[in-house]
Amino acid sequence: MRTGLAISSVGHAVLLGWGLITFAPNPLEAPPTEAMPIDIVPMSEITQNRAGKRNAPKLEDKPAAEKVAEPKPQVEPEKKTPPKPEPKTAAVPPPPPPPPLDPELKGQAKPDPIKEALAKDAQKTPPQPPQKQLPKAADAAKAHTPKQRDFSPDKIAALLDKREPERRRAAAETISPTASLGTSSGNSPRLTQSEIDALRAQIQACWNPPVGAENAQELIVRLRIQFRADGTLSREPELLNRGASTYFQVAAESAMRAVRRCQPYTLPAAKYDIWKDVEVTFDPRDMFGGG
Amino acid sequence: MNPAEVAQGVLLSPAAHASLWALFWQAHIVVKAVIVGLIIASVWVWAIVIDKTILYARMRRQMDRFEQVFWSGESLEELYRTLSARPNHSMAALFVAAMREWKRTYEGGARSTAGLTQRIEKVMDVTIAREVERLERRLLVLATVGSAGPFIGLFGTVWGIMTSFQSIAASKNTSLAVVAPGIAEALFATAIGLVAAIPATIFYNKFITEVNRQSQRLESFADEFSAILSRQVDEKM
Repeated sequence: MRTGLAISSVGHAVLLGWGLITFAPNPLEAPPTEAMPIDIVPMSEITQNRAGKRNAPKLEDKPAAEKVAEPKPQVEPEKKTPPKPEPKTAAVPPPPPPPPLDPELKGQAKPDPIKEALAKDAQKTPPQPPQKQLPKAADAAKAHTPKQRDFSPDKIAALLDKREPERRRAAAETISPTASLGTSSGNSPRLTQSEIDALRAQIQACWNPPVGAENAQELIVRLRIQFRADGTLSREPELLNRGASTYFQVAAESAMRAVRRCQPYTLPAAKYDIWKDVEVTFDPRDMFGGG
Repeated sequence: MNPAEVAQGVLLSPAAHASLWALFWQAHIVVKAVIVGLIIASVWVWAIVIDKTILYARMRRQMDRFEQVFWSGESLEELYRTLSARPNHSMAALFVAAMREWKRTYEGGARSTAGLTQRIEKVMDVTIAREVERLERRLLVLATVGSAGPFIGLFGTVWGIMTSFQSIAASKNTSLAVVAPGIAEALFATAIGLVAAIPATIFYNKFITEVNRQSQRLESFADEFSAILSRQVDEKM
């Protein structure tokens, strides 16, 4: 018996000691509730703004632009014009062969075809002295020049801008967010400040806040109110918070009474979706403070 | 009162004194007594459990060894001579008691052996009763703790909740922070009661079965041995 008693005592002592050391409950998280003035939070403000398309692509974390703009070397247009006019000088003398005659133009790094064409026009008078070296073609050339100005199928190619389109995609620092994840209705209607004030005024008119209660900050009552389209309550107002104070129950009762008493509310019927389900905060301090 | 301060107080107080020791220390004196009593009961229960486990295991081992020796064909006289000095277990005690009665009758030079069988059986019955009593001793403590422990703990809980409600009424504050510690300390009493009672009940049932089995074994050995002895008596006549 003595051994049993000894073992048992030691075992209990060890267990109790262990329990004393380790037994410590985790405190529950209970953040203090904040006091808010009376205001109206339409539920649809949240729900509508977040309503999107069900099959919308998921917005990934990709660079803002579709493609990062990289410095693209401007493609130098091939000079296709020079070879063509040359054989034509034999058959059709009028087009003055400017490229061979203008070494400065050729030497330029980026001959712009349009500029070139303009230059050709401008050079139509200067090249005449060299043309005089070919006296047979001079007359014919003079006769042809006005026609060429109107239309020359051979020169179309020279006039076309053959550069690659430099800008293919929008390249920018940021791009507008994906449009597919917007609201389904496009815009979310909301109560204007004056309409909120109207509802607030209607409720406040019927509200007898509990007078003489201490700790007014503990008497903040939040109610969820659901309306019918005609402005009456579709169901009893729902109490959203609890208070430790004994006066809280009185305050909650008074708030609910106020909501019930003012029942046909006049609110814009067009925005029924917004005010059919609202949360209202009753704060007695606002009443007394005149805020 | 500043709400932030209130919240701070509510948040900090349970964490600050919710250790097991604090729970016990701030309890009412009745609850304390209940808790201490239940801890002592638990210590006692486990002492009995350890003691009985050792006892029954040893008993079973010794019975096995004795039966082996007894049925090996060894002379009963010799066996009696070795065991009579120190009959250290129940079956040996039974054997020695019966043999002593037998020897006393013959060595005393009795005229008649008519009452001998009856006397031997009586002696063995008495020995069995004594041995079973030894096996069963203190098992009732287990039964008592097993059945009464939860009630005692419940008493402590009810008392603790009662006092905590009284303190709520006195402080006129229904906040959970006022109610919770009292209820926690009260429930601690029930927890200790259950901790003491559950092993007590389990081991009581186990030990009762064990005692029944061993006494059954003693009974059957006594029957066999008295049969052997009565055959001897008849042969000697």
